[in-house]
Amino acid sequence: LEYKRMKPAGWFLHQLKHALLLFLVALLLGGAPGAAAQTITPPENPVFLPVVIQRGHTSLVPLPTDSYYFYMKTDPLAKARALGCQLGERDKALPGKQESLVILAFGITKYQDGQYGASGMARGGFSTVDQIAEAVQQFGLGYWDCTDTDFDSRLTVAVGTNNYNHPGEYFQNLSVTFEHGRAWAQMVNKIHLWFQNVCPNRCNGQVSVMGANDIELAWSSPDDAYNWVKGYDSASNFPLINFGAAEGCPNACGGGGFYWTKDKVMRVTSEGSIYVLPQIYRPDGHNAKQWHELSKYSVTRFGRPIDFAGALSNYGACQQYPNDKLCKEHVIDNTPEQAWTQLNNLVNGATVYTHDDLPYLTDIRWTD
Amino acid sequence: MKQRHIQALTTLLAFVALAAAISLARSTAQTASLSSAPQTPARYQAVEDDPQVQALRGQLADPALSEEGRRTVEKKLIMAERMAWEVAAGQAAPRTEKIAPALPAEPAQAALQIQAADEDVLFEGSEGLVRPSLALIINGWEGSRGGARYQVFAGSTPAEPFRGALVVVELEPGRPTGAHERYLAPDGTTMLRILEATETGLILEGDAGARLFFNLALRSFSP
Repeated sequence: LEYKRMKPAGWFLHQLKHALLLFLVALLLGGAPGAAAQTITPPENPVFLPVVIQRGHTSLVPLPTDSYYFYMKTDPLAKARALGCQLGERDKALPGKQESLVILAFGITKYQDGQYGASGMARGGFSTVDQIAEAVQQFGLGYWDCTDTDFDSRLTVAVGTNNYNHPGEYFQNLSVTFEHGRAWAQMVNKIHLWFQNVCPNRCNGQVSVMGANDIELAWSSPDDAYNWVKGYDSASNFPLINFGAAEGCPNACGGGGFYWTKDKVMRVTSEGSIYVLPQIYRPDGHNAKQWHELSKYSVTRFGRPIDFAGALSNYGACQQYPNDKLCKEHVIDNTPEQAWTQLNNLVNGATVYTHDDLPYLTDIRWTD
Repeated sequence: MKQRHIQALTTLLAFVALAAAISLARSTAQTASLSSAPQTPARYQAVEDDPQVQALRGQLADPALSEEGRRTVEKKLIMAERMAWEVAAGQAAPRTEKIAPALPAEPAQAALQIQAADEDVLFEGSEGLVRPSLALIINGWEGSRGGARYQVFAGSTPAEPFRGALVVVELEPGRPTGAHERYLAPDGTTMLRILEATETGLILEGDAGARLFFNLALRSFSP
């Protein structure tokens, strides 16, 4: 009624006054509109509240990377730099941000002349952990350099060895040990520090590192493999990728004179900091079924499935050696896409458990 | 009436000026706070936003998780948070032109100490160079014959019924391996071991002590 008595100009000024008063109160209480995004201040002791996320199925096959059985004999540093650069150039040329994982496999564990190392993928070969670290650093540096103006794509290098031991009466590889695992972890930590402190501009956060072990159930006793893993876990700041095979599983895990129970397989697939990037080589889907069964067992044992990081295929190696018996007979020549799809369809189509998406897909081949 | 309007307008303008001053002061304080703790909020946010961190936190909320599983997830979570934090630190570094340092000198021959590289050598096991699904290896031989370099591994097929087998690899120049070809020993032999090499092939011993010869050129067994 009061407004009706006002003249139009007075009514307008009255309204404007109220609006501005409200604006002022809002400004004093909460700041100017749009300021909220700028007012994040770091808590002294951050509290990380649990975030419940929806795990689910995806049908998007990740873009595969090339992983390598890395031969250390010829120019390892130049070769590593060039191969890292090759991936960097690829990621730069692709639209958007790429997340890649590459395994560099350096052969069997070795302990020689008081130093830990690996065979460098050569019979009778020996490279120290320091020499291996240098090659990995050059791989990461090559990636960073060749991504050029792409500052967002990222690479994780998984530095690999394996659990090969020989059960024969004349010879034992005595370096599949707790101490070797610990030395491997210390090497991984050092490589990380190199990317943080020596690589220019911290490699812009584009390169990370992890440990890796091709744990083959037919290559060592469960205890030897577990000791190595425990050694790695005792010193590592970064996860371990198991990129092995589940020979004989789920019914009779192991082979070659080594007998594993499923619980012992769990110790090298589901405990500690391990993620599994399994060999899914067989086109008939057998490898994927084995890992699916093991993951189901992990649910009953630990209340959670195996943490799969993705899938590993052997297609590149078969392309290099098409006359290889197992390649020629199509026993291990899944394409990367087949490998990932076989595993994903099983572990994410399961009724007893669901699994996070499998983010990585990589295909292994030999370097010269 | 006109004077009342002018007074009201003046009051409003004073309010607006006051509000602008307060807003400016707050903004300045925020800027000072950010510059005294550079990038920290972004790094916290990067940890919060990391998909792996989020996934692991989600897993920790699962009541079905066993104690052992919980320990595993907690360990992975710490690692994932550390990685996300470090990546964020790297991403906050200057995005200037990338100039990689020169390649260090190659470690002269130190990177790989080949044992008896140009000679014949017998060795135990496969050194991890034969896939277990192809054969279980007892021992091996490496040497050159007819201008080619070979690795031959002796043992058996990987599963029952076991049968003696040789895996022959003709090494490609400059490469550590080649195609693996497998040859099965005559019936009744369940395991093979290489005893010695000759000019044309390998003398082998079966598990019952029987001797066999393998001709490398012909790729065939004979008594």
